[in-house]
Amino acid sequence: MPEEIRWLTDEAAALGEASLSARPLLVDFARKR
Amino acid sequence: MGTVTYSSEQVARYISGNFVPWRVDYDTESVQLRRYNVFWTPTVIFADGKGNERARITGYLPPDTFIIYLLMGSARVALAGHNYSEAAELFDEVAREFPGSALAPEAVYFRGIARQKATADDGHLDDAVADLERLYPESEWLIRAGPWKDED
Repeated sequence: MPEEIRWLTDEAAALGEASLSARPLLVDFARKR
Repeated sequence: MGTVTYSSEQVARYISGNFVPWRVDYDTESVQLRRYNVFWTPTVIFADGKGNERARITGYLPPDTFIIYLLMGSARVALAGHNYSEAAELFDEVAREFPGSALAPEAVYFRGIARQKATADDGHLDDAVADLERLYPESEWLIRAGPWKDED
């Protein structure tokens, strides 16, 4: 099964995971379809 | 970036392994839209772990091009975070693996900077100029590297 990106939608969660994982953020500004 | 690019296996694997993916709704007025001054979509921002922007992409890119931009985004975040060895490896990957890419001359330029910063050896700047002269003589990045030629 193809890998899917697990997008976070909450800033606090994103910053928290970035801090825990020591990974940078990729912020995607997208329109709802 | 749409369903085509993000559904690519290679793109999804690279993002999941190297970034924290955060999606912000462009159509909802938000603090993030104002903070990052986003005025068009798609816009993708590469930011450090505290949310400080280090690079951005505006406009659609297909998967085979987007993957190169992901590598460059990783490299720019590493460089701005003073992780020079990591940045040098990432710029080197772009330069070696995608020599025909529009980003390759930029990668050669910043590979020289990252290597110089990592080692304090100005010889890496000479190497960058030589590589740009040999591979990308018409590139603006060779012009930007022009002052390096005078530093003997």
